[in-house]
Amino acid sequence: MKKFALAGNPNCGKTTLFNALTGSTAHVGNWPGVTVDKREGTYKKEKEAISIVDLPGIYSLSPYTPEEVISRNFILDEKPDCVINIVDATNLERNLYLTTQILEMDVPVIIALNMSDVLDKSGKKLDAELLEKMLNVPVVSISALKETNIEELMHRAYLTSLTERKGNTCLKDTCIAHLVGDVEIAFKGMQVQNPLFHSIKLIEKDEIEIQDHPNLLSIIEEFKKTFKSETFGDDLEAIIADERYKYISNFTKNVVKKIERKEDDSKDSKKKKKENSDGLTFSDKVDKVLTHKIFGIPIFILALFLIFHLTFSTDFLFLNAMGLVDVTSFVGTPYQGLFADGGIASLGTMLTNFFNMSFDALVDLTKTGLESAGAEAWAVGLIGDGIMSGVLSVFGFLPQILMLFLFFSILEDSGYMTRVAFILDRIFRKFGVTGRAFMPMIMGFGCSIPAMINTRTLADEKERRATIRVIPFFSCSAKLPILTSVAGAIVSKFHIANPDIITLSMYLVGMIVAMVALIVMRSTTMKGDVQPFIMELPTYHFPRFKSLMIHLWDKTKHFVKKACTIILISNIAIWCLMHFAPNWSYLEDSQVDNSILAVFSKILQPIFTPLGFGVQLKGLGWVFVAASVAGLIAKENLVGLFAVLAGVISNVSADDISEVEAVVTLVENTQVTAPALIAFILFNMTTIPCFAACATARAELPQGKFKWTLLFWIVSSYIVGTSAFVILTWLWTIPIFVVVIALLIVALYFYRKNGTLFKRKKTA
Amino acid sequence: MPITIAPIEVNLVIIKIMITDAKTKKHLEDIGIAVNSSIKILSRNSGNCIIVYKGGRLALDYNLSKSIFVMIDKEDSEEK
Repeated sequence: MKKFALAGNPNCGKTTLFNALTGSTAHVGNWPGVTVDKREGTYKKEKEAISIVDLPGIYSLSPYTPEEVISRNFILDEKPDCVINIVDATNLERNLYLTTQILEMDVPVIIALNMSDVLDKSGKKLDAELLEKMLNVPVVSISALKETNIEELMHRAYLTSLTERKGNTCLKDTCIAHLVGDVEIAFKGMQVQNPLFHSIKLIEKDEIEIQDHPNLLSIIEEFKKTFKSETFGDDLEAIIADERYKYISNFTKNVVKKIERKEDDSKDSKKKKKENSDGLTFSDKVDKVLTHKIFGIPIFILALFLIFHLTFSTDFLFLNAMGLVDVTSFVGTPYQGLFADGGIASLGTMLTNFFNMSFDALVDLTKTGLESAGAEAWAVGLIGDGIMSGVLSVFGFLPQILMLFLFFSILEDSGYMTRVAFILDRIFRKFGVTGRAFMPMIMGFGCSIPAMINTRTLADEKERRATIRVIPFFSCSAKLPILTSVAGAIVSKFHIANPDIITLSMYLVGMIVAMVALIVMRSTTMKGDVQPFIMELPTYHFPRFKSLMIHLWDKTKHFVKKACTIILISNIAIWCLMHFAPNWSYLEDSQVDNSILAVFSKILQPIFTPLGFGVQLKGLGWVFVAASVAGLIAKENLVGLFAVLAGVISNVSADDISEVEAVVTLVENTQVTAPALIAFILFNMTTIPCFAACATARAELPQGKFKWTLLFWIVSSYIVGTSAFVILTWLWTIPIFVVVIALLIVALYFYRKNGTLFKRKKTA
Repeated sequence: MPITIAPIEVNLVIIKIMITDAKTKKHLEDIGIAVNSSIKILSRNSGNCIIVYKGGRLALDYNLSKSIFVMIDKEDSEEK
């Protein structure tokens, strides 16, 4: 089977083309660095099946970040039969820079001129034939998004792959042509493949190349002695970059001239002139507002608030709080409060209500059905409480999870997230990371696993490690049910605030903890300068319906799969642990306090006393400990466990119970306080993430760092939980905390200062 | 003059890049911020700035912007 590689600049549409070719639904986003690992698929419409490899975007074959190394190594080592170089036609000059380097390798190349339709719209046309003549490789205009001309591209790529190609360079008429020739001969003598490519990379002082062939450096040093350029001195890298750009702009100018002549005849020229008169595109104008010095950050915070409000609020636009609306829908039916319960519910709450209410009815129906069919009480319990309420309680949160995810996808797909990274860079810098770290962090709200993998876009190893550690603090969608159910219970039981405000503030506390942790790490164990922030900002576009739906579908699939496997199994296990005593005798629902789960949890319970859910709780107080432990398998288990237990209790008290009510029941039974509940949420948000995330962290972190990371998670969550409980319970402790924190800041400041002073002495 | 004080929305040409870290300098050259490239500053956000170049937009932090030196594009101002 032939193997073709897709290579090109970041955000030029490689993954879109990959999806179009292979029928995959890989994640596509409007920011550079979505793809951080290679990905394979098969194209079947050619004479023989072709394996297509999608590579992370690269600006040049000299890698800057870890994921760029993947692309370079693939093209060099795996020797694809053809490289499909995707070139963004709207950004020709810079995209061709990479092309000039790929052409230096001995590999068949074809150029896919992507986004040519966008170019058409802006009143320009590219002469693909001319480009083909100049570059001496086939050029095909395509639109990956609309899937036009893709078959022709693949057919020509196939034909191209049949003949071998020798690398050639655009540097052959320049002042360093001689040097390139000499080094190439040396490489040829060593029987190295792609000699031309390696020789130029060595002259460019590419890190990998210097490591591999230090013996050839002397040739270059010799040359440098006799060489001096007026503008660049002996900076050969700068000369090569300059020559490449000169070469590119030379022939793009030709293409551009042709375009303009054509353009004058067309009606579009008016549009173009209009654009020229104020010199700004639509994107630029939007950027003027969204990246504004003063308004940029408030706009972002407002956007976040709206998202949370639309997803979680039970009092839409605070109409009820303002005394404008007071209605309750469907009074007396199972669907009481579906659309409104006092205030009007937000869309997310409505959908979740609908799910939960329907599921509750379903569970009740099943239970009555089983009972009337004469099933044993334990069977009714296991199926009704253990399996159905446990799993369905998790399912109930699917609408809210999807909605939150949809909003973030819209922001991501439009290109706004990169702007946020830019405006936050200024602040992030103070925490010791660049604005670039914002992208993986925001991904953490969805799931920690892709977020941790995405840290590969960070150039600095220490920054990367620190970011991986704080990603779980950006509460993932699996932790959302904990938040909403406990927050709901706090509101209905203690009448404090709104659920959306509690949810949002919990998210914010998570972020603040992350920032504090970053500062501490970066000024103690992971000292180092903050890397420069360089990030390309993509053009804004309207989010694409198709890609949004693909995102949502993937998320749903993942969620359903997880709910039906890990969560189902853990719920059955939890139910069993609740119904067997340590001597394996079966227990009735009312005897749950003697179960294995209870006995085990009670051993751990004292540890959580400072957090408010330790020994001070009565009755079923051990449940919170059991839930936290179950959360290590999958965070959804927390709510599942509450639901199972609530079912067990409700059998005793014979009441109908929903997720929020489950927590309310527990609150009544254990006399847990609101501060302890907040501490419980925060502890679970910041503690060790689920097994899957731990495995990812382990794989992404350098060897030996994982155990420290685990310790870091335990310590930070314990501190956060304790402080939250103590402060909220005894408000007079605030001054003490302020003093302690101030002392810590001073200590840290001096530690940091001395550290850098020490470092400076060393270097001087 | 460094980008940090250069006029906004005027065509500029890069004349010198004073970045000591070789890897960063190479990366900037690779993405098109090299001597002789023409750029335009779109906006500045207390030192961090967005520049337009070769059809794309790039965000740079303060430390980088202050080490990239530019001058106003003469050809362009004459044309105007």
